[in-house]
Amino acid sequence: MNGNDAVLALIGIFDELEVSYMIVGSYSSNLYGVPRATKDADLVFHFESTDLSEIAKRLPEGVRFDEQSSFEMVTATRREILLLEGSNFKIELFHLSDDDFDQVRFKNRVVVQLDEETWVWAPRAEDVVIQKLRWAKGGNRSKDFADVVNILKVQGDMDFQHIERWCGEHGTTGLLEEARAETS
Amino acid sequence: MSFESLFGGGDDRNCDAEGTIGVFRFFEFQNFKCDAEGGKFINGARFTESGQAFSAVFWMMRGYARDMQLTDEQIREDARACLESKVRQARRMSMKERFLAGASLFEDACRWTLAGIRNQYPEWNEAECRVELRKRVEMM
Repeated sequence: MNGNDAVLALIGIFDELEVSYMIVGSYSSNLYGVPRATKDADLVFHFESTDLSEIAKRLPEGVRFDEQSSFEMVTATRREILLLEGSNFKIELFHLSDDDFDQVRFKNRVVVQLDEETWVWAPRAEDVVIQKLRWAKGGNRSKDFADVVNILKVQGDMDFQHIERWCGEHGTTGLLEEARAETS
Repeated sequence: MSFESLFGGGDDRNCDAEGTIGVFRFFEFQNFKCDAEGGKFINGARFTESGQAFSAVFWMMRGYARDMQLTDEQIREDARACLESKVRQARRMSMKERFLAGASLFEDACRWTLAGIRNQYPEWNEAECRVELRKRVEMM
């Protein structure tokens, strides 16, 4: 099973169990910007129970939960990792946190139709920009900044009032200005 | 000579020196035995360190630029044109193509890197090569 098959299988399980989720990280920036290679798929999900066995028992063969969950540092979110047998690709599942912006982008998520039978939930393009800038600042990661520049280039018209408001909250206004300057 | 014509074919993807296509072109250049200064670097590199395939493409470009006596401004202009080209290509892609691209490119890159590791360490067995691949992926 390859990475994409595993991601789509997991999304099918979420649909079946009526688990709310959205695809984030580079999968989401690939939807709105210039696609690039990624070694993992990141999803935020809202699952009432801490018991993931219902999800685990539905996973396709060759996909399993890593035994240890961990914390993502920027938003202090608990993270579960799914490993694919014979592959270096991973799926990372982040529990929806109480972080204000995490709540807002989850509430504003949209359906992205991939084909007639397949759709996924993803954040709005504006919220991908906001979160990527947060990562660029907090994690000092140049690839997140490059993703932002590419999204701004590809999308063109965006709700900058919304972006500027949250960048103000996160202290990333300077980075946003830099990214916008690179697109002009 | 433009960046695109350097990488040949007029295919937008050829401009992507940071991704899998860069690795792919790297192999093609090896086959062509390019005699530019960058070509020598490529022949010496052979994936001896993680990420060197990408570096090789970069040095290839640099060597070529020197040979062609491109100015910094011309190089910047080519880089701008390259980004514009990538943006145009991204706009043409369907949502499904965009969704699937990230993992597919990664898996292609792993295949090429593994081929490079096998070439560099012919005495290693498959398991040893995969351990090395995992190390290099962790560095990404």
